[in-house]
Amino acid sequence: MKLPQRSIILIFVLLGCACSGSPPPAHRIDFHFPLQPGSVRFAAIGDMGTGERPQYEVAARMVEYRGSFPFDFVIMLGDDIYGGKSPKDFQRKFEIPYQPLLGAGVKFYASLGNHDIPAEQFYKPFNMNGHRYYAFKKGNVQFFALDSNYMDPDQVKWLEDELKSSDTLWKIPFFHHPLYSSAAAHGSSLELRRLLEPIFVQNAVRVVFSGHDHVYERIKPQQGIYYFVEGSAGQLRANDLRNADFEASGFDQDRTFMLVEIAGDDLYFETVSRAGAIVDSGVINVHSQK
Amino acid sequence: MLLATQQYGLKGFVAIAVCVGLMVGEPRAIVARAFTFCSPNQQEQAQEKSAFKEFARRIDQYQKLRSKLEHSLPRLKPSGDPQILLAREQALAQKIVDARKDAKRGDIFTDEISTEFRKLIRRAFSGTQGRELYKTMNQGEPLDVTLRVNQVYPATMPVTTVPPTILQQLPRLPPSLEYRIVNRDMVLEDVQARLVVDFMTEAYPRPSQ
Repeated sequence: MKLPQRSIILIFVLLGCACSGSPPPAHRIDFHFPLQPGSVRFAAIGDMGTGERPQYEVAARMVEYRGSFPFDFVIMLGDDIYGGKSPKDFQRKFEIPYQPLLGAGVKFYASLGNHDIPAEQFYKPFNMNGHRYYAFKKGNVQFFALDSNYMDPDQVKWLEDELKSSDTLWKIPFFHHPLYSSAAAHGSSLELRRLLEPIFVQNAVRVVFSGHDHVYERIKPQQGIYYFVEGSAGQLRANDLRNADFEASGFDQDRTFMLVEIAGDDLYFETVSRAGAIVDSGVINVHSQK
Repeated sequence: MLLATQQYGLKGFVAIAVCVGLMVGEPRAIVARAFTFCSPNQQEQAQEKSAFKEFARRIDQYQKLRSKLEHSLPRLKPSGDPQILLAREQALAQKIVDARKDAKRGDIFTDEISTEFRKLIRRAFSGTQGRELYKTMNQGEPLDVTLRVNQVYPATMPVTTVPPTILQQLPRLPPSLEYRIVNRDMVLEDVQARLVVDFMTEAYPRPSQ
């Protein structure tokens, strides 16, 4: 079939329009995940709810990666909805960018950041069931979503009790303010660290996820605990990392999200940039101390 | 006096303090002075206890009113429609505002209560964890808002983390209320209505202090 030149140009223009919502092509899709049957697979995003183009591009990249790495749920590390909180904001800053994931049955579990409002606890797609802190289990993993804006004695006691009674191999707390961060904007939450770290150590926590600083950072194990800062799934504070002694790996040049698979004793993770580059990856064994 | 204290312990110290007082002032002042000498912490503790008891009474009063108002609204339950949640939040706020239309600053944080709150907070800041407390406070963003009672806390305004060390020491609140920090002021916020119930100014010391 011979098409006139004008038709060929039109096809290219139409294809271009159809693809304009997609992020630029990935530099590398190089999974090291074992994709074991029955493993727990999730994504982690923080500081994403801007409703702006970079958030949409990260979301599109997550959808793309889910094709190769079928994760079942997403943990949200706070600042889930920035700025205004009208129904339109909930759509623009959450429902629309993540629609392909929501439509595919991916569940989102939120924790509250300093830009969130209490009503979000009752917003069904956030799965908080009206609680500002809560726990849920997936296979051999128990997750603890905390409200680090307001770490009152009731919450601390709840956390201690829940961790103590947890019978899962992996116990993973996630919350907004990082206990360790070398970012200049906020940095480590020292008080929270003094309060929470002994509880984590005592209860064999191995991995903790936070946001708040608009960068990605992996911290060298602290008393056997691996801390991640993933606060750049929508926002970005470029060149904010100060390479503290405790930093194992960091990335502050583009937005990111994390993919995690927990298979038995091992946790596999990859941090993916908006452009699709893998900026960090590794394996953590639940029994490892260093 | 020091020698007498060493020899006769606290009783000796009190006796001498009273005698010294007798020589220099009025009987009531003497007793007060002796008391201050003996147990200044006890006196302060008594003041604090009394103020916090009064604070608890006022909170309880607010809570009773709030529960009554909330019962007249449909029960708050998770919804996929933010409009329902925001409408519920506004309806509760409106009911509270209507019922407390004469409320003013200091209705809960009275002068006496505020004094004790400030003392407690300053003690924490001057302690070994003072540096960390300042850091927690400084991690919050400066907030451009003029506070007033019955005002809805703006949804666009971020919250500053209340230092956990302070939260461990402040009087407990029912789940419907939380302490908030707005710059150096402390706000009592109705969480589900996002309403400023009361606030006290300069609750937190300046970083240089």
